[in-house]
Amino acid sequence: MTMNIPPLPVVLPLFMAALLAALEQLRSRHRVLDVLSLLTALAVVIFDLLLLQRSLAATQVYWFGDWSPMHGFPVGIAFVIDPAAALLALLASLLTVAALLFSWHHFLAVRTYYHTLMLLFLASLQGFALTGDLFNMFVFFELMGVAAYALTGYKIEESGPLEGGLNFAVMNSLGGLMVLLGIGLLYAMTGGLNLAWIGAALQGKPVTAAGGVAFMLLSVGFLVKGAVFPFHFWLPDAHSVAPTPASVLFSGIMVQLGLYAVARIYWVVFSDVLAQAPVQSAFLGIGIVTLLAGGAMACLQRHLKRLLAYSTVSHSGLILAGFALHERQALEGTLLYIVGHGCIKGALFIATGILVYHFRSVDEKQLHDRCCRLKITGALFLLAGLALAGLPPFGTWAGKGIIEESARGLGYGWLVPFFTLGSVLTGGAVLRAGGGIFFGLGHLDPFSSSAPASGEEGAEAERSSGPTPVLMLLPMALLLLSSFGAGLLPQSQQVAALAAARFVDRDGYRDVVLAGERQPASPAVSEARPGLGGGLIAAAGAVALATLYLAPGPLHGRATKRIKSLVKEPVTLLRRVHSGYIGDYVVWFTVGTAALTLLAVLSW
Amino acid sequence: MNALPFLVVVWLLVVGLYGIATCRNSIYLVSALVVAQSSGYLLLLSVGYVNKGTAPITGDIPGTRIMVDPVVQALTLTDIVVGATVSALLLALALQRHKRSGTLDPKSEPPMRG
Amino acid sequence: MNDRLRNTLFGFAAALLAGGLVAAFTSLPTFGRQSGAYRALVLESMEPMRHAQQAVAAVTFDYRGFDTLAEEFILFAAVAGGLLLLRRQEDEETREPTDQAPDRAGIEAAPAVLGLGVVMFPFTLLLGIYVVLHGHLTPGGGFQGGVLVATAFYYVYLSGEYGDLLKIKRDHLASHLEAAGAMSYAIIGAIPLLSGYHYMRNLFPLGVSGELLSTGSLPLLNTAVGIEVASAFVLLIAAFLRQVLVIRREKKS
Repeated sequence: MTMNIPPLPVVLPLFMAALLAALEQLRSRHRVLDVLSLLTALAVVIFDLLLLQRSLAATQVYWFGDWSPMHGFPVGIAFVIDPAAALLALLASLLTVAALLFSWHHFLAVRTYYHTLMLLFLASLQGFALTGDLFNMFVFFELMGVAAYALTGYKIEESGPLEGGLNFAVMNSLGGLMVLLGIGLLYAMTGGLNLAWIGAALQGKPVTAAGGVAFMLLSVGFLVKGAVFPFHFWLPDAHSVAPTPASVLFSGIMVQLGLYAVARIYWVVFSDVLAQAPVQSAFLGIGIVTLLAGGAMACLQRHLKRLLAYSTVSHSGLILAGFALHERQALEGTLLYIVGHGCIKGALFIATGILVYHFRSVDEKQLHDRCCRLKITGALFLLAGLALAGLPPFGTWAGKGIIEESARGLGYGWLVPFFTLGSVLTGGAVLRAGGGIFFGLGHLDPFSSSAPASGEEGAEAERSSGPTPVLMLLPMALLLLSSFGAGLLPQSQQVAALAAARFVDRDGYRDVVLAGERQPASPAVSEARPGLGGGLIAAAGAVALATLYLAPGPLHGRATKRIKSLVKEPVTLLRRVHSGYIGDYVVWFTVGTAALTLLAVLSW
Repeated sequence: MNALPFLVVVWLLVVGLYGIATCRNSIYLVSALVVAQSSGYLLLLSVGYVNKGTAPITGDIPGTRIMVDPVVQALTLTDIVVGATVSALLLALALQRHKRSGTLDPKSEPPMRG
Repeated sequence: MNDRLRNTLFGFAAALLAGGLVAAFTSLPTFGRQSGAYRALVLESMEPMRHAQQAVAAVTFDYRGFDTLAEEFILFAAVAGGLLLLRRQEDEETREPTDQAPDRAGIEAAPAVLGLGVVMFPFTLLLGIYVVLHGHLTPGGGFQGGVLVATAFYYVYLSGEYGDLLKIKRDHLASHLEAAGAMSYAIIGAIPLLSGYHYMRNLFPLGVSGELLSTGSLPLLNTAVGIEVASAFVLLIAAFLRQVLVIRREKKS
């Protein structure tokens, strides 16, 4: 039995989802559903911990149906569980536990659908992170999508969720189609679907246009999920209207898994086939543009969840840039950053859920100065805002510090100011919102004037004037604590270092999958020590930005007008680009795909 | 002739994308998405075709016959199921939105701007 | 973006994309000349190792059976999601379906239509069941047969009235069957775990090639999928029909 843990994180939640649907008679007893789904998620956490522990010793390969490679060719599907995969799976299950804890008091579920869909979503996240098979990845990508579209449209009483769900579903289906075309190309070239096999089959052959285009198509597909420019437009529409627990998972792990897939495919399949330079410069460029656009848009929002969604876009850009450095240490930082960021973003979304619980609104202007009695939530919210900006010793600080150090070492020192700017923008936007909402600071902000989109406020919860339930604050505090631990504990950095070392060990990965040779445990010495300075500067910058908004100082008066007229045009342009119309999104998608495909054809 | 299936793949993809990019009706949008997705099926099946190959079923046929690739057919089957489910969800979303706002036009007053 | 800008931009981008894809396709192996390792291995090994004669079914349910587990749950998720999205809202009420035209209060189906429905229903149902059960021998299988079975029930709707459909199809039964179908796939896959094998290992007796009970777990998995797919489509289409026929927005005056 002990060797059979790998399928359980996927199979158990799938089974439980079907069981809950069958237990429909219990629908009057929500607690049964709550307890069962929570227990399932906790069990998955335990499985993931076990898998992580084992993968640290050696990468685990699990062949479904005992179809181990036949004459060296993988005819079956394999889970390949290295520390990076296990780490992300663990993050996904932890966030699910937090989301389910939060939903205990959150809303009246419609029959069993909410719990069923959350468990299916959990299973898809697990499968996507753990699999080593390209088509299996696609299948879990689609399962993730289908569960997520339905969750996004959960509140059919409003048009926001319906619109958001529609945009989300169309864009992600197109992404899935690109993945499928990429799979078709790779299958034609190599005759296999296992990542390690495809990599081994392509190795040493002359590079063809098909190989490059296949990589770009796969990347485009997963970058749609990863929400980077110009494929990110669906994200704010969807994440801002989904129920809070779903948003926690969307922004905390789903988006990052898309980026992780790009990195995984690049390292295992293409890193010794395709020249590195074009990929690197394209993805670094995309990352920086995403980082800036997301950060700027976050500052312009008054709908809190939309603000957080744009900050996710911005951090996606940072994560993509981290992966695009194509280096072990940068990868270590990026993995750490994903963990740190996921926990913080989850905590922030839970905070917005608490606001909905009390005030039925997430509009910064409406809530201004009305939430002063929520002292604990307010304090945690501001702390999370600082952590988002990279305050030491949160995981975001450690991760970003390591990426920055690696960037400097590789001669990409110019990236560092951009990273800091992104943190300042997103952290500042969150702090500004928190300062206004919880502490009544400042006047109504002069730049964010877009109409609030309705969505969640409606039927999600009854308005409550009592104290915030402990079960809402608990997951928020725990998530912040996890992010704190991820940055502070040297062990977490050790795990990330080992995960990165194993991730970049392409030949070791191929050997362990195809030949069953145990991947030698690489020395996990992490030399990188993130400096305190960078984190403090970013956090101070965020505070300064928030102060600029909130203080009755230089920004209110004649100077305001001048600044306003100065930024008016770019702001208007930026807003108009994010038009909310699916036709525009598809045009952007086509432009992005065409550009990357052309790059592939021209460079290889 | 050899290039024809691949040209059709490209054509279906581009036409489907064009349909989505210019559509003013959500139902039409779903159809355009289905058209685009069929390019995926066609690519998989073309990739697995072998000249003069028969269906990969050995039943009463002597095993010496050339057969096309069964793997891509299984993949296509999976993808068709995926396409059908996504269409169902999209139609459900479009139907409810029509009830909310009385329109199927995705361009009319998207609630989310900027 | 205005329409002209959008069209121009799309035109350029689509042309470039098409060019890039064509360039990629030209460097693929020639059409019809593929010699994939996967295809050869499956075709060689399926009969000796699994007594299987239908390679697509062998790949779907055995070699890559884990994909199909996820695929089945995609459909399951879509049904849960579809029913969630198509639920009755608080400001809506249900009404018995009636014909909207005032001069035809109770319209009867023409005898020919009714007769066709009576013939087609059992025929399609049987065909569906046949396709499910023989999925590992002939073209078809759980997915295709399941859709046929679901179609059979819609002949009843088409040839009669919505009420007739409601009589046959109880939502509870269908949703229980759906969950049961999904669960049994997961359970069949898990049985080998008890004896220390990996998930989805095909442990059942392989039987004689070409017989109904052969190839181990394939007929069982096909049946599980067939039940799931049939009830899933019955549920989904019924949910859409209910939206159109039964649920009415309350007029607020």
